Amino acid sequence: MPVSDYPGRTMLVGFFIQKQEAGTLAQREQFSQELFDKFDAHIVAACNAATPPVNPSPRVRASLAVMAQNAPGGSNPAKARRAVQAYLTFRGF
Amino acid sequence: MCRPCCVAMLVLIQCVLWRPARAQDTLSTEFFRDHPFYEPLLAEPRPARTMLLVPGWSKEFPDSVKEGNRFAWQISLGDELPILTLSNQQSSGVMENGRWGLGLWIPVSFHVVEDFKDDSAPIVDTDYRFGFMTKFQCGCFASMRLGFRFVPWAHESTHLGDEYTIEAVKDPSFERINVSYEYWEYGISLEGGGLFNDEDNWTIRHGGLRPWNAEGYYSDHLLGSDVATLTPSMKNYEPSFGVEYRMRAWRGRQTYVSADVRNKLIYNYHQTPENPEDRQWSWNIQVGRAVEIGTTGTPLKQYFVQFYHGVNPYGQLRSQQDYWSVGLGWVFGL
Repeated sequence: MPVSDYPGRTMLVGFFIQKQEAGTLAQREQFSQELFDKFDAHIVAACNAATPPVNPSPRVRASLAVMAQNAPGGSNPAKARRAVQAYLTFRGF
Repeated sequence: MCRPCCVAMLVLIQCVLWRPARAQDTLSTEFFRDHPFYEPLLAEPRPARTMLLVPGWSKEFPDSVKEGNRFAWQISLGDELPILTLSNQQSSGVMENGRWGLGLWIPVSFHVVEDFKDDSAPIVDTDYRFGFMTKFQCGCFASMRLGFRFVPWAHESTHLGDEYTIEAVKDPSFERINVSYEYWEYGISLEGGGLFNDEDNWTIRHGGLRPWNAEGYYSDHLLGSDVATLTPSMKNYEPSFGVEYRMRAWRGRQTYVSADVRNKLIYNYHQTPENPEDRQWSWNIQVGRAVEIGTTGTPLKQYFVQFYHGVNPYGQLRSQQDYWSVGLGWVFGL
């Protein structure tokens, strides 16, 4: 299974939004891997489906994963699509 | 428990919780933080949540003065107060594949029904519930979650309204029963999504409830008397089944249908061989719109149409069968 390449600083933001504390390095690394497993493939797929297709950097994918984690939705693909849609709107697509 | 049973249970737990080992897995313990390990079914009749059923209509109550169906609204106030959770998942939300969470909650709730047809619009009944609740959920399967809920001890106390009672005692045959009991309860839940598209959700439930008390759901003597004149309830186990389906979200809410059916005891305070206790399958159906899972900052969580038919769910009025109520429901929460 691929290992998360999300930057630690973005994961700190995501972890802090959820638990209002920094947590330990091990907790944040696990948090990073969980967000990667839940959302990354769906984020990449949604970005590829955009017009024009977007190739997000690890930093952008990490931000999108944090957004997806805090998005409403009944499934991980739905939450990831919400996050990517917001990003595409932000980028003016 | 016998040794083969213990071994079988350990093997089962191992199979259920098995996942490839990862060096960074850590166990998190959190106090007073809520997690969606086993949310009440939307159509569950007595969950600890804040709900109004208004406008609402109801069948005539056993001691109503005026005959016929009536406008009667229902109010439920309550919440499941989180105490302690333990999980091997760091990110919030439902349990992902291979993750599990376990926790302790204290459910507290009040349930009121008020009749607007009889004079002075009497409060018919108020029921109070509180207890201890453990909940567990694991991402045991690739696309499904398995959940358990166990209430080792809880208490329900029921109270007829005073204005309702003042009118009821004019009938010499009226008896004021003390429906008050401690009970345990269990629930098993299987939840998933992707039935018709990748945004829908489904839930299947089974549960059961049984009083701890040897005398069942109510005292064997009338309130204000020490003389045992009532026959205790005997058929006390109450099994339940539930299903729920939430469609793809539209405008921020999921349209859903939720159904709960339970085999409820019809209280019989004076059983005889010719007049034994009986049961009735009682069902509650909701069709409505609910905010998507994970939505925050929207106090109105659900609105729906609800139809209930079966044993009257209120206090000593549970001696009434074929009761029904219907109304528009509104669920609020933070």
